[in-house]
Amino acid sequence: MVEQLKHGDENAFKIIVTTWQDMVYNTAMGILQSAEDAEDVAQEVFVQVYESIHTFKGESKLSTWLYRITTSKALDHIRRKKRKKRFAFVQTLFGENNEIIIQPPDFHHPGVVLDNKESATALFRAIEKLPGNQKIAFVLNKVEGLNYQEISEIMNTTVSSVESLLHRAKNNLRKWLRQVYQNKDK
Amino acid sequence: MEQHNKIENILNSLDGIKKASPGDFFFTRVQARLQKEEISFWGRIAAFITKPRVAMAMLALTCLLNAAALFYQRGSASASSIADQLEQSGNDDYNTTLATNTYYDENSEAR
Repeated sequence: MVEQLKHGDENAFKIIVTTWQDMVYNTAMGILQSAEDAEDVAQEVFVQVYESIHTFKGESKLSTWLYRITTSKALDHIRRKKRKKRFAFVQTLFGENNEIIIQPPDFHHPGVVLDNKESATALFRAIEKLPGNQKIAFVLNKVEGLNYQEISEIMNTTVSSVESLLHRAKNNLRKWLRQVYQNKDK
Repeated sequence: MEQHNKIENILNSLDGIKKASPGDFFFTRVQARLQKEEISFWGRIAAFITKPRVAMAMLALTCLLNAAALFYQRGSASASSIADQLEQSGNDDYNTTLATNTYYDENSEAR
Protein backbone atom coordinates (compact mmCIF):
# COMPACT_ATOMS: atom_id res chain seq x y z
CA MET A 1 0.00 0.00 0.00
CA VAL A 2 2.80 2.41 0.95
CA GLU A 3 4.66 1.61 -2.27
CA GLN A 4 1.50 2.22 -4.28
CA LEU A 5 1.03 5.59 -2.58
CA LYS A 6 4.66 6.44 -3.30
CA HIS A 7 3.80 5.97 -6.96
CA GLY A 8 0.90 8.44 -6.59
CA ASP A 9 -1.94 5.93 -6.38
CA GLU A 10 -4.99 7.88 -5.09
CA ASN A 11 -6.84 4.69 -4.24
CA ALA A 12 -3.98 3.55 -1.98
CA PHE A 13 -4.21 6.89 -0.16
CA LYS A 14 -7.96 6.41 0.32
CA ILE A 15 -7.39 2.96 1.81
CA ILE A 16 -4.70 4.31 4.18
CA VAL A 17 -6.98 7.15 5.34
CA THR A 18 -10.00 4.94 5.94
CA THR A 19 -7.90 2.29 7.70
CA TRP A 20 -6.15 4.63 10.13
CA GLN A 21 -8.52 7.59 10.50
CA ASP A 22 -10.04 6.39 13.80
CA MET A 23 -6.63 5.75 15.34
CA VAL A 24 -5.30 9.17 14.32
CA TYR A 25 -8.49 11.02 15.29
CA ASN A 26 -8.85 9.24 18.64
CA THR A 27 -5.21 9.95 19.60
CA ALA A 28 -5.56 13.61 18.61
CA MET A 29 -8.80 13.85 20.56
CA GLY A 30 -7.22 12.37 23.69
CA ILE A 31 -4.41 14.93 23.58
CA LEU A 32 -6.39 17.99 22.41
CA GLN A 33 -9.70 17.30 24.16
CA SER A 34 -11.74 18.95 21.43
CA ALA A 35 -13.58 17.35 18.52
CA GLU A 36 -12.90 20.30 16.17
CA ASP A 37 -9.20 20.46 16.98
CA ALA A 38 -8.89 16.68 16.65
CA GLU A 39 -10.54 16.80 13.20
CA ASP A 40 -8.22 19.61 12.15
CA VAL A 41 -5.09 17.77 13.32
CA ALA A 42 -6.24 14.45 11.83
CA GLN A 43 -6.64 16.14 8.44
CA GLU A 44 -3.19 17.74 8.81
CA VAL A 45 -1.70 14.32 9.60
CA PHE A 46 -3.04 12.74 6.41
CA VAL A 47 -2.01 15.72 4.32
CA GLN A 48 1.52 15.26 5.65
CA VAL A 49 1.33 11.51 4.98
CA TYR A 50 0.40 12.25 1.36
CA GLU A 51 3.15 14.81 0.93
CA SER A 52 5.97 13.00 2.72
CA ILE A 53 5.24 9.33 2.09
CA HIS A 54 8.55 9.11 0.15
CA THR A 55 10.40 9.77 3.45
CA PHE A 56 8.82 6.69 5.05
CA LYS A 57 11.45 4.00 4.69
CA GLY A 58 9.55 1.20 6.37
CA GLU A 59 12.01 0.88 9.27
CA SER A 60 9.06 1.15 11.66
CA LYS A 61 5.45 0.13 11.29
CA LEU A 62 3.15 2.51 9.39
CA SER A 63 1.02 2.86 12.53
CA THR A 64 4.09 3.90 14.56
CA TRP A 65 4.94 6.54 11.95
CA LEU A 66 1.33 7.79 11.98
CA TYR A 67 1.29 7.96 15.79
CA ARG A 68 4.53 10.00 15.71
CA ILE A 69 3.10 12.51 13.23
CA THR A 70 -0.17 12.73 15.16
CA THR A 71 1.43 13.34 18.56
CA SER A 72 3.87 15.95 17.27
CA LYS A 73 1.12 17.76 15.33
CA ALA A 74 -1.17 17.67 18.38
CA LEU A 75 1.54 19.20 20.59
CA ASP A 76 2.23 21.86 17.93
CA HIS A 77 -1.49 22.63 17.88
CA ILE A 78 -1.54 23.08 21.66
CA ARG A 79 1.48 25.43 21.46
CA ARG A 80 -0.18 27.48 18.71
CA LYS A 81 -3.38 27.73 20.73
CA LYS A 82 -1.52 28.83 23.85
CA ARG A 83 0.32 31.49 21.85
CA LYS A 84 -2.99 32.77 20.45
CA LYS A 85 -4.53 32.80 23.92
CA ARG A 86 -1.58 34.75 25.33
CA PHE A 87 -1.77 37.24 22.45
CA ALA A 88 -5.52 37.68 22.96
CA PHE A 89 -4.93 38.24 26.67
CA VAL A 90 -2.30 40.92 25.98
CA GLN A 91 -4.70 42.56 23.51
CA THR A 92 -7.44 42.71 26.15
CA LEU A 93 -4.95 44.31 28.57
CA PHE A 94 -4.27 47.08 26.08
CA GLY A 95 -7.95 47.40 25.24
CA GLU A 96 -7.43 46.55 21.58
CA ASN A 97 -9.73 43.57 21.68
CA ASN A 98 -12.69 43.70 24.02
CA GLU A 99 -13.75 40.10 23.46
CA ILE A 100 -13.97 38.07 26.62
CA ILE A 101 -11.68 35.04 26.65
CA ILE A 102 -14.06 32.12 27.00
CA GLN A 103 -12.82 29.09 28.86
CA PRO A 104 -13.60 25.88 26.93
CA PRO A 105 -16.34 23.74 28.44
CA ASP A 106 -15.56 20.41 30.11
CA PHE A 107 -14.52 17.75 27.66
CA HIS A 108 -16.60 14.59 27.32
CA HIS A 109 -14.95 11.82 25.33
CA PRO A 110 -17.66 10.06 23.29
CA GLY A 111 -16.13 6.63 23.93
CA VAL A 112 -16.26 6.73 27.73
CA VAL A 113 -18.57 4.26 29.48
CA LEU A 114 -21.68 6.05 30.76
CA ASP A 115 -21.01 5.21 34.45
CA ASN A 116 -17.56 6.79 34.25
CA LYS A 117 -18.53 10.00 32.44
CA GLU A 118 -18.14 12.33 35.43
CA SER A 119 -14.89 10.79 36.62
CA ALA A 120 -13.46 10.79 33.10
CA THR A 121 -14.28 14.49 32.73
CA ALA A 122 -12.36 15.23 35.95
CA LEU A 123 -9.48 13.08 34.73
CA PHE A 124 -9.30 14.83 31.34
CA ARG A 125 -9.26 18.19 33.14
CA ALA A 126 -6.19 17.00 35.04
CA ILE A 127 -4.56 15.40 31.95
CA GLU A 128 -4.68 18.83 30.28
CA LYS A 129 -2.20 20.12 32.86
CA LEU A 130 0.39 17.37 32.25
CA PRO A 131 3.66 18.24 30.47
CA GLY A 132 3.82 17.19 26.78
CA ASN A 133 5.69 13.89 27.06
CA GLN A 134 3.75 12.67 30.11
CA LYS A 135 0.49 13.59 28.38
CA ILE A 136 1.42 11.64 25.25
CA ALA A 137 2.52 8.57 27.19
CA PHE A 138 -0.62 8.61 29.34
CA VAL A 139 -3.01 9.12 26.41
CA LEU A 140 -1.35 6.42 24.31
CA ASN A 141 -1.56 4.03 27.25
CA LYS A 142 -5.03 4.83 28.59
CA VAL A 143 -6.95 6.16 25.57
CA GLU A 144 -5.31 4.14 22.80
CA GLY A 145 -4.61 1.09 24.98
CA LEU A 146 -0.99 0.68 23.82
CA ASN A 147 1.57 -1.22 25.88
CA TYR A 148 4.90 0.20 27.11
CA GLN A 149 6.87 -1.36 24.24
CA GLU A 150 4.64 0.21 21.59
CA ILE A 151 4.74 3.59 23.33
CA SER A 152 8.55 3.46 23.55
CA GLU A 153 8.75 2.84 19.77
CA ILE A 154 6.45 5.79 19.06
CA MET A 155 8.28 8.11 21.43
CA ASN A 156 11.72 6.88 20.31
CA THR A 157 12.75 6.01 23.83
CA THR A 158 13.28 3.02 26.12
CA VAL A 159 10.61 1.03 27.91
CA SER A 160 11.99 2.11 31.29
CA SER A 161 11.67 5.81 30.35
CA VAL A 162 8.06 5.18 29.38
CA GLU A 163 7.48 3.50 32.74
CA SER A 164 9.04 6.49 34.46
CA LEU A 165 6.97 8.95 32.40
CA LEU A 166 3.74 7.13 33.25
CA HIS A 167 4.69 6.88 36.92
CA ARG A 168 5.31 10.64 37.08
CA ALA A 169 2.13 11.35 35.12
CA LYS A 170 0.01 9.30 37.54
CA ASN A 171 1.63 10.96 40.56
CA ASN A 172 0.92 14.41 39.11
CA LEU A 173 -2.67 13.47 38.34
CA ARG A 174 -3.17 12.11 41.88
CA LYS A 175 -1.74 15.32 43.35
CA TRP A 176 -4.02 17.58 41.27
CA LEU A 177 -7.11 15.45 41.86
CA ARG A 178 -6.40 15.48 45.62
CA GLN A 179 -6.20 19.29 45.49
CA VAL A 180 -9.54 19.44 43.67
CA TYR A 181 -11.21 17.30 46.33
CA GLN A 182 -9.62 19.23 49.18
CA ASN A 183 -10.90 22.50 47.68
CA LYS A 184 -14.36 20.98 47.25
CA ASP A 185 -14.47 19.85 50.91
CA LYS A 186 -13.59 23.36 52.19
CA MET B 1 -9.19 6.46 52.59
CA GLU B 2 -12.44 7.32 50.85
CA GLN B 3 -10.69 10.15 49.00
CA HIS B 4 -7.88 7.79 47.96
CA ASN B 5 -10.40 5.34 46.51
CA LYS B 6 -12.20 8.14 44.69
CA ILE B 7 -8.96 9.30 43.10
CA GLU B 8 -8.01 5.77 42.07
CA ASN B 9 -11.48 5.34 40.53
CA ILE B 10 -11.00 8.53 38.55
CA LEU B 11 -7.58 7.36 37.36
CA ASN B 12 -9.18 4.13 36.14
CA SER B 13 -12.20 5.83 34.59
CA LEU B 14 -10.79 5.47 31.08
CA ASP B 15 -10.77 1.67 31.30
CA GLY B 16 -12.90 0.20 28.54
CA ILE B 17 -12.96 3.45 26.56
CA LYS B 18 -14.05 3.10 22.94
CA LYS B 19 -12.38 4.83 20.02
CA ALA B 20 -13.86 8.06 18.74
CA SER B 21 -14.47 8.38 14.99
CA PRO B 22 -14.10 11.51 12.89
CA GLY B 23 -17.54 11.21 11.28
CA ASP B 24 -18.65 10.46 7.74
CA PHE B 25 -16.87 11.64 4.59
CA PHE B 26 -13.58 12.22 6.38
CA PHE B 27 -11.60 11.23 3.28
CA THR B 28 -13.48 13.85 1.21
CA ARG B 29 -12.54 16.50 3.76
CA VAL B 30 -8.89 15.38 3.64
CA GLN B 31 -8.96 15.64 -0.15
CA ALA B 32 -10.41 19.16 0.05
CA ARG B 33 -7.69 20.08 2.53
CA LEU B 34 -5.03 18.71 0.21
CA GLN B 35 -6.31 20.84 -2.66
CA LYS B 36 -6.37 23.89 -0.42
CA GLU B 37 -2.78 23.17 0.71
CA GLU B 38 -1.64 22.90 -2.91
CA ILE B 39 -3.17 26.29 -3.69
CA SER B 40 -1.55 27.88 -0.68
CA PHE B 41 1.93 26.65 -1.69
CA TRP B 42 3.30 30.21 -1.77
CA GLY B 43 1.64 30.88 1.54
CA ARG B 44 3.58 27.99 3.02
CA ILE B 45 6.82 29.33 1.57
CA ALA B 46 6.06 32.69 3.18
CA ALA B 47 5.29 30.94 6.46
CA PHE B 48 8.60 29.05 6.22
CA ILE B 49 10.61 32.20 5.57
CA THR B 50 8.97 34.03 8.46
CA LYS B 51 9.73 31.25 10.94
CA PRO B 52 11.96 32.79 13.65
CA ARG B 53 14.69 30.18 13.17
CA VAL B 54 14.79 30.62 9.40
CA ALA B 55 14.62 34.41 9.68
CA MET B 56 17.51 34.43 12.18
CA ALA B 57 19.57 32.09 10.00
CA MET B 58 18.98 34.31 6.96
CA LEU B 59 19.95 37.39 8.98
CA ALA B 60 23.12 35.68 10.18
CA LEU B 61 23.95 34.65 6.60
CA THR B 62 23.42 38.20 5.35
CA CYS B 63 25.71 39.57 8.10
CA LEU B 64 28.32 36.94 7.27
CA LEU B 65 28.21 37.77 3.55
CA ASN B 66 28.49 41.47 4.32
CA ALA B 67 31.46 40.89 6.61
CA ALA B 68 33.12 38.71 3.97
CA ALA B 69 32.52 41.34 1.28
CA LEU B 70 33.95 44.06 3.52
CA PHE B 71 36.99 41.94 4.35
CA TYR B 72 37.57 41.12 0.68
CA GLN B 73 37.16 44.75 -0.33
CA ARG B 74 39.68 45.91 2.29
CA GLY B 75 42.15 43.25 1.20
CA SER B 76 41.87 44.24 -2.45
CA ALA B 77 42.00 47.95 -1.55
CA SER B 78 45.29 47.55 0.32
CA ALA B 79 46.67 45.38 -2.49
CA SER B 80 45.69 47.99 -5.08
CA SER B 81 47.23 50.81 -3.02
CA ILE B 82 50.53 48.88 -2.94
CA ALA B 83 50.23 48.42 -6.68
CA ASP B 84 49.53 52.15 -7.06
CA GLN B 85 52.55 52.99 -4.97
CA LEU B 86 54.74 50.69 -7.04
CA GLU B 87 53.36 52.18 -10.20
CA GLN B 88 53.94 55.68 -8.88
CA SER B 89 57.56 54.95 -7.90
CA GLY B 90 58.05 53.36 -11.33
CA ASN B 91 56.78 56.53 -12.96
CA ASP B 92 59.09 58.66 -10.80
CA ASP B 93 62.10 56.56 -11.86
CA TYR B 94 61.03 56.89 -15.48
CA ASN B 95 60.67 60.65 -15.12
CA THR B 96 64.11 60.92 -13.48
CA THR B 97 65.63 58.86 -16.29
CA LEU B 98 63.89 61.03 -18.83
CA ALA B 99 65.10 64.15 -17.09
CA THR B 100 68.67 62.81 -16.94
CA ASN B 101 68.54 61.79 -20.59
CA THR B 102 67.28 65.21 -21.54
CA TYR B 103 70.12 66.82 -19.59
CA TYR B 104 72.69 64.68 -21.38
CA ASP B 105 70.99 65.31 -24.72
CA GLU B 106 71.11 69.08 -24.18
CA ASN B 107 74.79 68.85 -23.22
CA SER B 108 75.64 66.80 -26.28
CA GLU B 109 73.86 69.30 -28.51
CA ALA B 110 75.81 72.18 -26.95
CA ARG B 111 79.09 70.44 -27.78
